[in-house]
Amino acid sequence: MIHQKNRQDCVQSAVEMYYEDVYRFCRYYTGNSTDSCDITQEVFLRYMKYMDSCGHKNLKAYLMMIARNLCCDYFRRQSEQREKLLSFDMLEDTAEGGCLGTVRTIDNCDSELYLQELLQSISQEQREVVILRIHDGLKFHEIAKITGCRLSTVKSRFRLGIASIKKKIGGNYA
Amino acid sequence: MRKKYDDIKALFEENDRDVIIDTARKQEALQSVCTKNASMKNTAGSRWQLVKGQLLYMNKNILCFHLAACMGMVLLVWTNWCDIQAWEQYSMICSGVLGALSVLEVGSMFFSGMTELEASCYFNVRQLTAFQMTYSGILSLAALLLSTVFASIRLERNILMTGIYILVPFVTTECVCLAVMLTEIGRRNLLVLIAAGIFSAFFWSILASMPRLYEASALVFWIAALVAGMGIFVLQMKWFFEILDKGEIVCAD
Amino acid sequence: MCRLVLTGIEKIYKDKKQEKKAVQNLTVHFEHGVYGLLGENGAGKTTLMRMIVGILKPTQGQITYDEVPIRQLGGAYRSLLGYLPQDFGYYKDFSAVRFLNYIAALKAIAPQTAKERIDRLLETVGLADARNKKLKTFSGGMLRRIGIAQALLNEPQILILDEPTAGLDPRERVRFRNIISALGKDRIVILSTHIVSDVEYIADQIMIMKQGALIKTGTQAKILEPVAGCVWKCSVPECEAEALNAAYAVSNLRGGEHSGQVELRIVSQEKPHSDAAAVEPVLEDAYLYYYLCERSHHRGAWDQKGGTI
Repeated sequence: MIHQKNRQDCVQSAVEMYYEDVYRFCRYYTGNSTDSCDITQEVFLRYMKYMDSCGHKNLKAYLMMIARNLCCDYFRRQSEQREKLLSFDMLEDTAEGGCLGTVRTIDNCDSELYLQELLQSISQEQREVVILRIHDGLKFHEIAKITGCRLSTVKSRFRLGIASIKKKIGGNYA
Repeated sequence: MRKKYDDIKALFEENDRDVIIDTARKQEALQSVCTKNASMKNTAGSRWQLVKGQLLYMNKNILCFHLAACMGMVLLVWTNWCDIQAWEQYSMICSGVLGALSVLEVGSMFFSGMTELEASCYFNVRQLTAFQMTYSGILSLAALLLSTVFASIRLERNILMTGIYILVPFVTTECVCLAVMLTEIGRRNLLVLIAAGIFSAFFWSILASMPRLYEASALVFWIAALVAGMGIFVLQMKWFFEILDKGEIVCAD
Repeated sequence: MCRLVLTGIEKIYKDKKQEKKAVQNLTVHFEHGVYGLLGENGAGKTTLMRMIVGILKPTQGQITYDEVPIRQLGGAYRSLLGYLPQDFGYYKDFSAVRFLNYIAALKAIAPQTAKERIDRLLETVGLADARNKKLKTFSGGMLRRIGIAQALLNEPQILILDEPTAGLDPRERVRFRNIISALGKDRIVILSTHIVSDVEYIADQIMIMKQGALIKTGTQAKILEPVAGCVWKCSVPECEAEALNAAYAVSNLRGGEHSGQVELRIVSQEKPHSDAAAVEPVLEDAYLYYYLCERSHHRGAWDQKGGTI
C-alpha cells in the first residue's frame, strides 16, 4: 500500500545507513568481495520488493536476516555447481586446501587474509554466529531469530566457533 | 568487562578499517533499486477505495442491529419517551446491549467459519478484528456520548457522572462477552454469546433499580469499576491478538 | 523464480501434558511447478499447509520466500498467496459475485481490477450463470469451484489447495485437474490429497507424508524407481485370495475374468505366488510401498519377512 516515492526514499536511506554493515557481513561470511557486492545489492532489492510499510522495528536485523539467507543460498548454489563439476570429473576446480573451495579474490592484505582464513576454517553455521555476535554485536536471541535455530544451538555454535579460532590463533604463537 | 573474544573483535575492527567500500558498486546498488521501484506496479487501490470495498461487501447483519440499537438509545432520551426516573434503568440496559453487539460483530467472523480463508488474505483476521472493533467502538461510543449529553441536560446532572453510569455497563458487558468469545464454545455458538450479553444487560437492569447506587459515596465504586473494566478489556484484547497470532483459533477444526 | 524454502519445520501441540508432533523436522523447498502432497488423514498435510500460508506459527524452524522469512514479509507474502482450505467457510446469504468481491477487498485488489478478474474467473470455473445465486444453493462441486476462483483472484505466485477434490464427482475432478495443470507453469502450486489419482497426471513433484514427516519426495519417475520389480499381478481362486490379502500388501483387488477367480495387485519384494507376474508400478503402488517401508523400518520386519505386512 505504499506510494512509489515513499518506497524509494525508504530504501535509499536504508542503503545510506546500512550498505557497509551488510557488505562487511557478506564479505566475512562468503570470503569473496565481488560476490558480496552482488549479494548486498540483492538484499536491498529484496527490501524494496517486499516493503509494505516503511520502518521495520529493527531494520538492521531485518536486512541481516535477508543477507544471511542470500549468503546461504549462495553457498547452496556453489556446492551444487561443485557437484556438477565433480560429476564431470573436473576435479581441479574443487576444494583447495582446507577451505570450502569458494573462488577468492580478496585484496592482498595480510591481516585480512589471516582473518578470512580463520573464518573459513570453521563451519558455515559457526561462522555466521561468530560474525553476527562479535562483528555486528547482535544478542544471541536476535541471532537465533535470524538463523531460525534454538537459542541453545546458537550459543553452542558460538562457543565451538570461538574455541576453534582461538586454537588456531594460539597455535600461531606456539 | 574483558570478554573472551576481545582479540578476535580487534581483528574484525582492524579489517573494517582496511576494507574499502567500492562506492561505484554502492551507486550501482542505489541505481538498481530506483529502476526496480519504477517498474513495480501498484495494483492495490487507494486506502479509501479499499475501506469502501470492505464496508460495501462485508457481512452487515450484526451492524444493522447495532445501528438500530444506537439510534434507539439516543431517541429514547431525546424524545422523552420514558419517564426520566426510569431512564437510569433503560440506559444501562441499552448500554449493555451495545457492549454485547460490539463484541458480537467480531464474533460473527468466527461463526461463519471464514476466518481460515480471511487469515490468508492481505488484510488478515488480526487487521479485520482491529477494523471491526474500531468502527463498532466508534458507533457505540458516539451513541453513548449523545445519550449522556441529552440525559445530563434533562436530568440536570453532572455530565461526568452521567457518563460514568452509562459507560460502566458498556465496558463490563464487553468484558463478559469477550471472555465468552475467547472460549471454544463461545466462538462456535452464536446463542451462547447472545445469552451472555442478555445476562449482563439484565444484571445491570436489576442493579440500576437500587437507589443507593446513585449516592455520591457510591461514586468511588463506579469509578473503580470503570477503571477495572477498561483494564480487563485491554488485557483481554491483548490476549486475543496473541492467540490470533498463534493461529489455532482461526482454523476450522 | 523465487523459492519457497522450509527449514527444520516442526509443529508440536501440547495437549494435557502430552506432546503431539503434528509435523516433524521437515526441510523442503519449492520452485515453480505442481507439487502433490500425498498422505493419509492425520498425516500432517493440513498443518503443513497452514504453516506455509502463515496461519499457524511453527514451533521450530523457518519458512522463507525469496530468502526473506514469511513472518517478516507479512501482508506482502499474503498478497502472493492463494489458499483454498479443506473446510471452506462462507456467508450463506452471500451471492457468488458478492463473495468474490468481499475476498477481493480483503486481498486489497482495486475495484476495477477486481471486477475484470471476477468476470474472467467465473467464466474459467464455469459459474458465470450462477453469479447472482446465493452460496447456500450451491452444490459441493460448485462451492469448490468458487473456492478455486477466490484463490486465483490476486493472481497468486503460490497456490495452496488443501484437499480440493474432496466430495467432487469424477467429471468435476477432471475439470479441476485441467484448471490446475495449466496453472503450474509459472507458479508454485501445492496440492494436498489422499487420493492418488488427483496428482498422478498433473504433479511435477510428489511428496509423501506420514505422521508428520516427509518419507519420500521427488518426481514420479524417481518415486517409482525403487518400486520397480516389486509389483505383481496374479489371478487366484477366491479361497486363496483371502490368505494372500492377509499376508501381503494388496493395492487392488477385483473379480477375475473367470468366475471364482480374484485378480490381485500385490506390492511385495518377493514373488507372492507362483502364478504372479511382475507389472509396471504406478503411483498408487509406490504410495503403498513407501508407507509399508516406513512402518517396517520401525518394526524391522520388511526385509526379514520379504515384504509381507
